Amino acid sequence: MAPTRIVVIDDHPAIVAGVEAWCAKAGVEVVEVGATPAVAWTGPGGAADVIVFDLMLDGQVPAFGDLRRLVDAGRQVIVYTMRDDRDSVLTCLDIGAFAYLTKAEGPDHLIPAIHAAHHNLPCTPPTMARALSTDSRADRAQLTPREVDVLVSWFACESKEMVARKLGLSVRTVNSYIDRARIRYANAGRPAPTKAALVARAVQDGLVRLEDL
Amino acid sequence: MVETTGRGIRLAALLITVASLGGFALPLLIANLATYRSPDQELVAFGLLTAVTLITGTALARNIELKTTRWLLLAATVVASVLAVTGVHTEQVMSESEWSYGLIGWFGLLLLLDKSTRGTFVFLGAHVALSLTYVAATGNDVAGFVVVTTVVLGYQVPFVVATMILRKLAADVAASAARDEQVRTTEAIADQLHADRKARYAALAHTAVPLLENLGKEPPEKAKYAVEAARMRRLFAEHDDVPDPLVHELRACVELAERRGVVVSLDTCGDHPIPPVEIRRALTNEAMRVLATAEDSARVTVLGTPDTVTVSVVARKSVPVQRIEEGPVTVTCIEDGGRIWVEAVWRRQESW
Repeated sequence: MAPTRIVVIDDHPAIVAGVEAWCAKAGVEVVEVGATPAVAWTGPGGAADVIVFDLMLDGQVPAFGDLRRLVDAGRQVIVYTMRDDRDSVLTCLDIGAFAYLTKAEGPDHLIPAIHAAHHNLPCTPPTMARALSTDSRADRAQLTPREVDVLVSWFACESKEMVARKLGLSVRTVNSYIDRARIRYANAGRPAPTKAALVARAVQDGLVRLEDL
Repeated sequence: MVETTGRGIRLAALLITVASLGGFALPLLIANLATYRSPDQELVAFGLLTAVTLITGTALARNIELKTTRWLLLAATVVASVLAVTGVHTEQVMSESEWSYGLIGWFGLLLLLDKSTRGTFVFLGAHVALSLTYVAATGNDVAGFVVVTTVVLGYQVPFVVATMILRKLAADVAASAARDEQVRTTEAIADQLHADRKARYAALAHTAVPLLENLGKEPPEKAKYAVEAARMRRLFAEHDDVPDPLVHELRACVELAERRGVVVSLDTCGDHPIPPVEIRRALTNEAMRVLATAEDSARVTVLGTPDTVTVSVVARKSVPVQRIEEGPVTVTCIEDGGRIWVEAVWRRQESW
């Protein structure tokens, strides 16, 4: 299987170096790095499978516009940022980001997210789980109480094995609750090709049934 | 206190006025009605004074303060006085048929005493002076007038003086009561502070003090000291005024773990209610113990719903955790591959 190729957009050299080091260990190929989204449009970056994107490029305003353009071009974007507030997470997911991670979440979450993005499989790191479970917007996707329980527990302990033991479920079931919640969000709000692809793949894999959505 | 006294005095003045009006003036008026120069004037004067008495009595009963009405009533009293005196034939002014002289002073007391003692004296003085002038001008017996005046004022002036003394006493008593109250409050605060200190000391005495005593004796058990240090930190944090005391107190425990080089992430999920201090202690107890001995890293989260607060800690295996299944705060614990996940949950009940 061909290695996953990524482009890293981040203006902090230390972050870039860190991500490169983690990727080297995990068999992920970093084809291009840069401080602006331009590197993701042309050259080797333009052909990368996954974009790791720093939301706070100029340090002031979240780069939602750049994110939207990348998503609308059908790119798989993982937002990787210092911001951990719920609204930023939900906004990025609504735009069509594949996943949202904070920089406090290290390689244990970033590497699986990169692989999942490449294969279009849902991936919900803890900070994202928190945002989904505490969403109070009027037009939010409706989650079941069990899904909320699983998301909150996953955020609290960051271990699906422990969540499974606590709730008396199998790890597989825990994953399916989290993924179903994620798919509900992909199916709600602003349409985007990446969101549609995620839902289509989930239906195809039997993760959710069309009538559930 | 002062108010009650003032009301009592006015009530007394009212009773005297009513008694004098009905028991003294009315019989005289009826008995001598035929002898007056103008019986109509006498009747109007009596009617006016009766009206003043009724209005003042009603106001007193309903506890309404007389404002401009007071001056209208006073004017009516003066008019009544003039009518009553001039309605009598001049040669009979010093006779029994002139019923108003002894009465008008009481009206002055009734209408002015609660407002001003000095004003009352001025009114009494003016009444006496004008009456004297009239008596002298009409060629009546001035010596007799002096005798009558002495008798009349002999009742009224002591009443005014007694009022002044009572008022002073009432004010003194009120001030003294306020001082006593202040002393009691100060004492209560001091007691409360003392009790707080004792409670804080008691909270540490069973755990921290024995450790301190054993410092020099046995090989130190690091974990115990760490837990006690965290407990003290938490206790100090309890007295800070912050919007979210639960997270603040947890942070106190977290900081201590961070000083030992443990990487701790402290995060919240959802809004949580603020539990009372005993509940916060119960919620943070196990987290504190786990953090105090955690190796390399730990994750602390406060999970909230409108009615529950959960303090969750995940760390590499450390101390044995005490599970609690009963009571307002329940503690559960899951161990998995060298890691431990402790959750303390508080469910808000109606009584909180």
